[in-house]
Amino acid sequence: MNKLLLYVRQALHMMKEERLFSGIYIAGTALAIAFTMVIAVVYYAKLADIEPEVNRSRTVYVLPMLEIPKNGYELKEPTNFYSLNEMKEWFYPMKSAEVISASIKISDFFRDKAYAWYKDSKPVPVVERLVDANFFKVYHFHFVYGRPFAPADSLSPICIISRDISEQLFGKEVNPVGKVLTATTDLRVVGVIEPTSSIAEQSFGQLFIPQSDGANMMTIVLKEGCSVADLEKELEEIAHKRSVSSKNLDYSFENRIWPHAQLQLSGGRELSSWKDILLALFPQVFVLLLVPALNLSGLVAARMKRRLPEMGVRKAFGAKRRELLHQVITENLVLTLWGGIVGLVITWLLLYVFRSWVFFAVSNHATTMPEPTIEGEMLFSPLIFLIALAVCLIVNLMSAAIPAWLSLRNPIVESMNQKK
Amino acid sequence: METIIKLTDINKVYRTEEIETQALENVNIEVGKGEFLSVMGPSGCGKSTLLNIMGLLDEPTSGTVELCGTTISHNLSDNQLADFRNRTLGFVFQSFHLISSLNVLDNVQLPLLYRGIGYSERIRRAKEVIERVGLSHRMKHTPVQLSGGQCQRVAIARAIIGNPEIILADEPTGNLDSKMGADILGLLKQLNEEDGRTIVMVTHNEQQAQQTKRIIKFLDGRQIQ
Repeated sequence: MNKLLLYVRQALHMMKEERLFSGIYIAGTALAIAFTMVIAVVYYAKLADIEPEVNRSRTVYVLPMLEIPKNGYELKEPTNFYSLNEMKEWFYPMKSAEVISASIKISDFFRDKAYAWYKDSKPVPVVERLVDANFFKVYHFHFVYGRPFAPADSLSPICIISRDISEQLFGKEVNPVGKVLTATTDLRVVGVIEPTSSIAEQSFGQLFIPQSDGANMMTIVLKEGCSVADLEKELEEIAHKRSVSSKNLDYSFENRIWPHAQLQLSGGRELSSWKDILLALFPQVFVLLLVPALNLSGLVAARMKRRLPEMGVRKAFGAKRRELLHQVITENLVLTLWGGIVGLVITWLLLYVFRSWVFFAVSNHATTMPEPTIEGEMLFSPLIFLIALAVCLIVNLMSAAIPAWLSLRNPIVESMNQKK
Repeated sequence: METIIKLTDINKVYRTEEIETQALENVNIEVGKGEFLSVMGPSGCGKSTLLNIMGLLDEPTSGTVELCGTTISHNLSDNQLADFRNRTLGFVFQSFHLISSLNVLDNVQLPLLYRGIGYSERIRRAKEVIERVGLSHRMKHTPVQLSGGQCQRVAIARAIIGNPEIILADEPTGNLDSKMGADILGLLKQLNEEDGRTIVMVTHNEQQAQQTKRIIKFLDGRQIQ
């Protein structure tokens, strides 16, 4: 530990002495880290359990069943909707599901802009969602006023709005519960929620209306300890029972069950969580880091050459090669950590300035979604810091270890006689 | 007198693709414990090479090195050699070789750091030897803030902090004016006489060499006296 402190002190001293080297090294590291962190933060914001989508890691989206004619034709057509009765009868009793929400695929909602107004006010564009009572159990919204929907609300002309819309329609600090706004029809406000970020697009909405007709997507939160496979098994049993009872059709859930991460990334990946995605992304990230690391290792090699006399003296007084390697890596880590801090700041700036482009780069609804707000939870999660630290360590090891090791192989006398 | 350094049939040849240079030829030297030996000779005669071989900083092409009764074999690993140097040898170089980014206290404690001695003990001993070389008021200074003579005093403090049996000084006064040179030589003599440390000093300065207990002279890699 004492050695470590001594190395850190020396590193800080050298930072002041070699400002050009330190500046270039920190800038290079910062950019490498920033690019990597942008990727990490985007995936984190889209895939991790963050408000209001706090159950993402156990949320599964189930599209309508496939209908396969029994006459032997291969034609497969998905059924259009799950009716509410169907949901209650077939799906609500499933043992692996904690909550099931009947909803409409977001792609069916965000095609057109909706508007809402109050009395003679100017119409305000809103993102409108048809949801059931369980929607507010799947997603965690903060209610400023009023309440979420209850099961009995399904046919009522009521709505829940977000605070930003409420302020535009009714004014600031006004409780609009009980007031009637007009959207597709007249709707009485029963609740106001804190606005959420459109980055969480599965839950995002500004005007929520009770679902009455049925759903073309089920959002299921798995019970703790249950897996997607458990749910698949139950769903296939339901499909089988329906197939047996049908004269003309067989039913199947093949390719209809999408864990959150898979849905968010438009499928194609057999990954169930954002952690798996990050692991899958590791080779690309590694290459992304390798290029700056190679450049930085050139800088470190040049610096090591300048420091050969010092290394020679240390060896003369009993330093072992691994101790010197440890020292160089520690000193470098000080610079890399500075690079990491600067890199994180650049990451946040990049994400703030280019938020629409960055967060909707993989979304089909970018044109209809409002500009995303970035929540602190997305940027300042301990996990994001851990990832940043890991990236720092990788860059540090890649850039410092090899040139240091090579230069430390020099004979002592040769090192000491090296001109500074 | 107990022999503490014994070099037997030492040869050192530097080879490049085009040229072969015999730096040392059949050198045989014995140094007794507590001796203060000067090695003299013109530039390029092999004095520093001899000192590097004695100090295990370089390997002879052939011959045997024995220090404190231990024969240094080719089989010793780098780590074993590092340990041996750390415990047995102290070095003083002409150009001081202090680490510019460390202050006096940190420079001096370096050998103890690699011996695995704890922080407080390192600091205590470093302060002790810094006081002994008369630099207590400069502990927090970096080498660039010191004069040449002060730097060499720091180097001497670093050489003796680990309490080594042998101190090897390669032209310790070469970069100093005569007054500072005399000071440094006085310090080395004090270490020899009061502590009984064995000192081998390479020097060009006949007058300084005369103040040591024995002189050996080199010419073209051979010991001539």
